[in-house]
Amino acid sequence: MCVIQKSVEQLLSSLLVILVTLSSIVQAQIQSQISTIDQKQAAQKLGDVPPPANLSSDDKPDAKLAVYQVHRIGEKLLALRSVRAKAFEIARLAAVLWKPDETRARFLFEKALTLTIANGNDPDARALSALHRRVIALIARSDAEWAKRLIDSAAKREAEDQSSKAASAANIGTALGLLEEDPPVAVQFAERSLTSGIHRAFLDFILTLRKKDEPEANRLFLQALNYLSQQPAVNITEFHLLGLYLFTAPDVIHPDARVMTVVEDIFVPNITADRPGVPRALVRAYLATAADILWRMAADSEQRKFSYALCYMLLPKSKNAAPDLTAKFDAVMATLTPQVPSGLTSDSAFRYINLPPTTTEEKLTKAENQPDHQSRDMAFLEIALQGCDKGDFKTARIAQGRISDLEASQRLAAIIDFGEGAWAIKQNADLLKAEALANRLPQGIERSILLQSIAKIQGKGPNKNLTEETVDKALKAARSISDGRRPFLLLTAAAQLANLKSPAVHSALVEAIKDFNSFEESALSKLDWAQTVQIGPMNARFPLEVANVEFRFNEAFHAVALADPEAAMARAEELRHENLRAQGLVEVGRAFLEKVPPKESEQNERPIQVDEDGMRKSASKTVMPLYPEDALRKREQGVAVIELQYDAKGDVVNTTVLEAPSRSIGDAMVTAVRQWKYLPSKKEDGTPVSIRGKLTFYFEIDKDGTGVVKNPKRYR
Amino acid sequence: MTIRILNIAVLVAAIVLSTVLVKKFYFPAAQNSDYRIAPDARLIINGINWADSERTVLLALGKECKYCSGSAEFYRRLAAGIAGQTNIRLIALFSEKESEGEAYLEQLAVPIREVRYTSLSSLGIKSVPTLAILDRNGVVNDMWVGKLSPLKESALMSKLRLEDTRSPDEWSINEANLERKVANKELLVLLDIRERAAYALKHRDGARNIPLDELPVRAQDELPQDHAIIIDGNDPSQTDLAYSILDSQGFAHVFVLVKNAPPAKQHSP
Repeated sequence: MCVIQKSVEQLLSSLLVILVTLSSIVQAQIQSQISTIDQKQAAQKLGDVPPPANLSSDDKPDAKLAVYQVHRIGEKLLALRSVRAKAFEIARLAAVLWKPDETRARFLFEKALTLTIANGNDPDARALSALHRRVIALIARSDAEWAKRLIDSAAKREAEDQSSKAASAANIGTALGLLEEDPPVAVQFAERSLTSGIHRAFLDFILTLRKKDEPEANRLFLQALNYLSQQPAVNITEFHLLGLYLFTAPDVIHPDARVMTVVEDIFVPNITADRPGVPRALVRAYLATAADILWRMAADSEQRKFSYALCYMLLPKSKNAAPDLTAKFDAVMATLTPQVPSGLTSDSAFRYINLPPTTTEEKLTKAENQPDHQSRDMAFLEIALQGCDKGDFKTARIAQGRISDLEASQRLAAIIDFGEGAWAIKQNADLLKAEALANRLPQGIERSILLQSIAKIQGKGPNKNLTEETVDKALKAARSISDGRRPFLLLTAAAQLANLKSPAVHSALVEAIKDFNSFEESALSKLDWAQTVQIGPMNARFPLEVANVEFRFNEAFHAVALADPEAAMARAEELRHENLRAQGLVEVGRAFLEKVPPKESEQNERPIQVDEDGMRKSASKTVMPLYPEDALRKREQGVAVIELQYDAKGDVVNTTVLEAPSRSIGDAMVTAVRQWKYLPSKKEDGTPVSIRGKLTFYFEIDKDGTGVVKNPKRYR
Repeated sequence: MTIRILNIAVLVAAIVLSTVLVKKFYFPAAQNSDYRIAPDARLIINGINWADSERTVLLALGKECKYCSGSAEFYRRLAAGIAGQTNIRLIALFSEKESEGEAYLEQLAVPIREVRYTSLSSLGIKSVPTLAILDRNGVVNDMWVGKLSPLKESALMSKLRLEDTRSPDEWSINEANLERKVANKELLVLLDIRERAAYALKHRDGARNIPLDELPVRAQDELPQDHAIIIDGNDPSQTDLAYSILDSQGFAHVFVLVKNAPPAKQHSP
């Protein structure tokens, strides 16, 4: 018993030891759990402390202040007298405000819509309706569905016969406005425009879209053909114009140029040459629809003339592309011939279309042989104009030298110098040549514009003083201009100074504002950015275009406002003309919002690096980059890599192009990737985290010259 | 009285103890599901006495695993090397769910005599191939997972003090040979895997830059399969990784550029 008791005692004591140990372990575990809970609670409590003042936890004071400033600007705009300036600028401000304050933005959009509802059919009402459509186009960028509903209800309001036209115009206008930023949504609007007719701007749309997304543009073109083939009466001219999508005039420099040629007494688009790279199937579809439409025969004698001209141009094409349709075209020709004026059926009617290209020598000799001074001068002016268009400045100078009208010749000399300088910058960024030409030019608009273009390129380099000197020279040249273009040039020069962070921006801005106020409003609107040379009845127009600067008020004021929004706001309010004041204020509002530094939480938080697999798997919306048109033209292709960071909500907040065949390809990639959306990201403990990683794209040009953007093989 | 209390205490203790034991016995996996084999871990496999040889090389394989069959050439060299040694034992492990491991090895022509079937996951082996070197006590000294790069292969061989029969020329190239290949206009791509900034600062003539972290994505699109790919980089661990990436993507002629040693510093007397 004793033994048993002893052994029991031993067992007991050992078990007790085990028990105590176990319980202490369990205790410790419970303790540790409690302590972590305590810590968590403490942490939570710290986070729950109400933020000071009236700031919500994730908005920094700067952001609040900026939004407040934009609200103030909104009030100022609403107080304007001019309804038109007010309505459109309110809408622009609303578009700017959409992201930080959607409620207020919606309110402003509503205001702009109400202000532009027109009654009646007088010119004022029509202008207001056009404005209403532009407001809708702005809304489409923020809320496409809302815009669609608005277009439909606006169409209902219009008179019965106007409604379809108005809807078509609104839809295609919106589509064009959206094309740069959001091509897929733009296509939706273009498609909608087709349900109520084919608007003139439809051709603009598909021509531009083709450079971004050819299959989509081709699809829309076919859809338009389909629509037309179902119409009882088709406007032949409209159909003829649509042919410019497939064909062009021979010998044109810019393939999208619309060459209208005179045929007897009518003007028709010249579509006798083929555009390179157009799919045969499209040509066939166009010819088949044309044969159908022409076969129906127009009742109106005017329309029959256009039908004849169209048939004349399409007949040779059908022999090539669709021989089975030739008989039908022949039959149409045969039926139309007795029904149109005999002049049209003579061979000479189409002489301008079939004109063989002439050499420079021939042209000069022909001009020389003109019977009188004026005709000679006019012919030389024409040659100079063509030379400038084609970049053949040598010929332009020869022609200019032979013009006997001294004033015109002198004026033309400056224009040619300018044209050559602008060409040197655009084609090969040849600054030395452009500078030499600019220095040769007299003070005036040509010199000022060319110098600003040069300064823009110099500004990208390290030498700020040199750039500032050039801008200064441009300012000086601008001062000797006497028309309403002067203040615009002063303002763009100020914008360049602002980009350079030069203190001279303030005085330049003051000068520009004073200058704007010195002109009447009519002198500042509808400016022609071209120089004209007049000889007798001929008025030759030379556009004053440079590749890298546009003389627009909004862009320039925006640059100035970014340098110092407060000062720019004060200056904008000094503007005498309401529409300019309104535009300026909107740009100031934009600048206020853009200057808000990124949220501190985003700055401090270290993003988690993931590989490309991860970057692609967690994306909830992806947008492929579009092949930039100029890159395609310059045949730039290759791999492009972008690094991006998205925040915890899944919005892309940062992008860096690491590698790209050209700048425009890099830009296209940024535009696309900025639209990507990601699934919200959290760490394991639930704290939001931002993610960083790379994406790769291949920009390739295939055999028929089409630009294709591909994902790496691994993701195809 | 005291005895009765003691008895109750014994009973309670017994219940507690048995619960603990039952729990441990019935749910061992629940406790160890995340366990992974790692160096310094001690392995116990029924029927294997680690003390039988100075070192044991364990090779865990799977019949469906492509990296296993892809590494056959190395396993052949390894097995041949070990066959000449008396103090190293080589054991192939297959999951108990598989059978005919011997036939599989025969098919790959890998001469391993000792084959065992066991639960790999309970040993902490989560993926195959896994190669581990154990000492006399069954403690893991070194281990490798996946298909090995040439550099790792030779490290493993030298750890076992085995002579590697594979010539370094099969996977590496020196500068003189590279120059010769270039001069002969042989089809090759000189691939610089350093960061863009380092590449931009200085790089070899004709070198093409794909930073290492982008290589898995870009290799298939940008590197020709029929060219010799010569990897240039500063860090051996990086060139080694690049080699493995290209190897696993099916590039057949991949070489790591071995640079000439920098000239030794002259000591002035």
